[in-house]
Amino acid sequence: MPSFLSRLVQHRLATAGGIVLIVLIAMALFAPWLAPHDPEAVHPEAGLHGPSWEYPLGQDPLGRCILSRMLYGARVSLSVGFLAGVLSLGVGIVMGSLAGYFGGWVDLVIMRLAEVFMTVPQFLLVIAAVAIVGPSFTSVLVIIGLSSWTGYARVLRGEILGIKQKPFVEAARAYGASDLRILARHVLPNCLAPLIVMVTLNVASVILLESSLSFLGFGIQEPQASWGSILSQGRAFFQTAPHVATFPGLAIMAAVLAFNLLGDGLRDALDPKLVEGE
Amino acid sequence: MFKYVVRRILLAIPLVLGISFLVFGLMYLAPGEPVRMLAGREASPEVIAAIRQEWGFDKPFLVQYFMWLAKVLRGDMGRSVISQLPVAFLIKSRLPFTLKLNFWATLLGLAIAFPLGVLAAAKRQTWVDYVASALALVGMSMPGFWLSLVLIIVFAVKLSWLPTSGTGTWAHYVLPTAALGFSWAAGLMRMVRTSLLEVLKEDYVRTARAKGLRERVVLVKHALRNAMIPIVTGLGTWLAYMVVGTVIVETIFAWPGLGRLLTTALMQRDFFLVQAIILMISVAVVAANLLVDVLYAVIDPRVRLS
Repeated sequence: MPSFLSRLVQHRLATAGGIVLIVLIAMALFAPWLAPHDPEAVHPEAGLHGPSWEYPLGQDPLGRCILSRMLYGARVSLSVGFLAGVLSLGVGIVMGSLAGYFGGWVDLVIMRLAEVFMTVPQFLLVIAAVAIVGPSFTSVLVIIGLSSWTGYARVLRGEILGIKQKPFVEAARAYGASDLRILARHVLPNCLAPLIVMVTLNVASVILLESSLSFLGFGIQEPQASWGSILSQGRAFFQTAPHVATFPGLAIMAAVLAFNLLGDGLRDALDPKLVEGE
Repeated sequence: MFKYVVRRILLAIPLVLGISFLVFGLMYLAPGEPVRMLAGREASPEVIAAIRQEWGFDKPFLVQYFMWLAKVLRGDMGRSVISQLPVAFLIKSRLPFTLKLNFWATLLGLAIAFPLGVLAAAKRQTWVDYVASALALVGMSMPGFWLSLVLIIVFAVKLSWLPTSGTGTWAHYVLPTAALGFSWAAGLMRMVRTSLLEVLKEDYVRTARAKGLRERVVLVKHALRNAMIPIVTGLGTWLAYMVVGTVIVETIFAWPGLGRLLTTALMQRDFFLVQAIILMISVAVVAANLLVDVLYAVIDPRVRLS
């Protein structure tokens, strides 16, 4: 483990990604103290004003402070990313373990199901499901989480297939451990490394997905803000007031880039064989 | 080869059935009866009764599904609640716009990703590689809608070189094609670079170099051909990229294709139309994956023999 951590820290890009993430998370956590204004305070007469001393990133069409909305929006965008990421990891672990460990018809049914979910473009499935159920923080989060488990399940299934014939698993079975115990104590801990990388990259894609949904109007709804929905607010006016769209776009890009860099770094650090130049 | 293709096609049938089941089941996510979703918010009780009768919504779930499937297989996917036109007609009238846009965007993506990816791999760990890889990372992280807006602000509003939206002349193609092509090219370029680097470590590449072949021949004839297998797999995700991109880019640029048809249909809660578009695109994905599998077999004889 120490060698893993030192490899990760030595990976300069991953470190940079990690620092950006810590800053973004801190911004989200301390939003109430950092925000200069109430994110929902409306000043229609000052709509679309550009950046000024009082409003560092300008005002949206309703005159609300964009910086404050972005700080609160960070909470929404990042928590959708994390929570949907964790939810899909959970579903993926259950599905992948069942398929890999028990095999047979369980495996067949789960893998066919995964194939269906991987074929229907996730974006279409999510946007339609959210529109049908009704867009909200919870529906966006749950629907994205429930539709992105397939990658985890497939990778985990493959790992388990490779590991369940190993002598230590047979030994556990021989002294009478239950299936659940074998799975939880002996098999899963040896299969999780590749999933860690996947979670990081998955969170990046969830953040992108949520922002696209919110941008199109099928995600986070007014007056709650996410980076995508702030951008969406500015869409009709961006030719005259580009600042409304610019800053949230940069925030989304920074967050996604940071997760991607961290994911790349984690992959290299977890699997030294892959490090380039060796 | 023939047997291989037939087997692939047969394997795709249960998949398509599964997809149709999922798309049909989507309507059950709505509170209340699905027929109210499909008939639209303002539908009169008579209209609802007629649709319920026609599509069998008064019957058990599985019967409903098979009645729906039978109609869909005959090409009847219902009528738009808003325009009252058959869904199939609406899709057919919008499809050419989407296909044209996707064609040019794909061409642009390939034209960017392959040369840059090969160059980055060949000049590994030089500034060329760093710049290309950085561009790819930024491109992958940039939301498509934001790139579209930036392109509009720069080229349409500030420089007024190109129109902001609509269709008609070739100039209307430039910005949507660029917005759609760039984001895809970024991911593909990384894939080309990584798989080429992987192959360049192989013994046969060393042999080719030892024979004194020119580096260009080694790269293109020996390395790239073998690197094509993972790259072709990557092309399988091409359609998935294009679908997301198309929905967003068409909505922003007011492009009259399927993507915009979908967002307006969702906005107006026109769910027969939504259902049909998702089903059609998903079946297209199955077809694309089939094509990729066949391509594999063409590139790599080991695949069709196993």
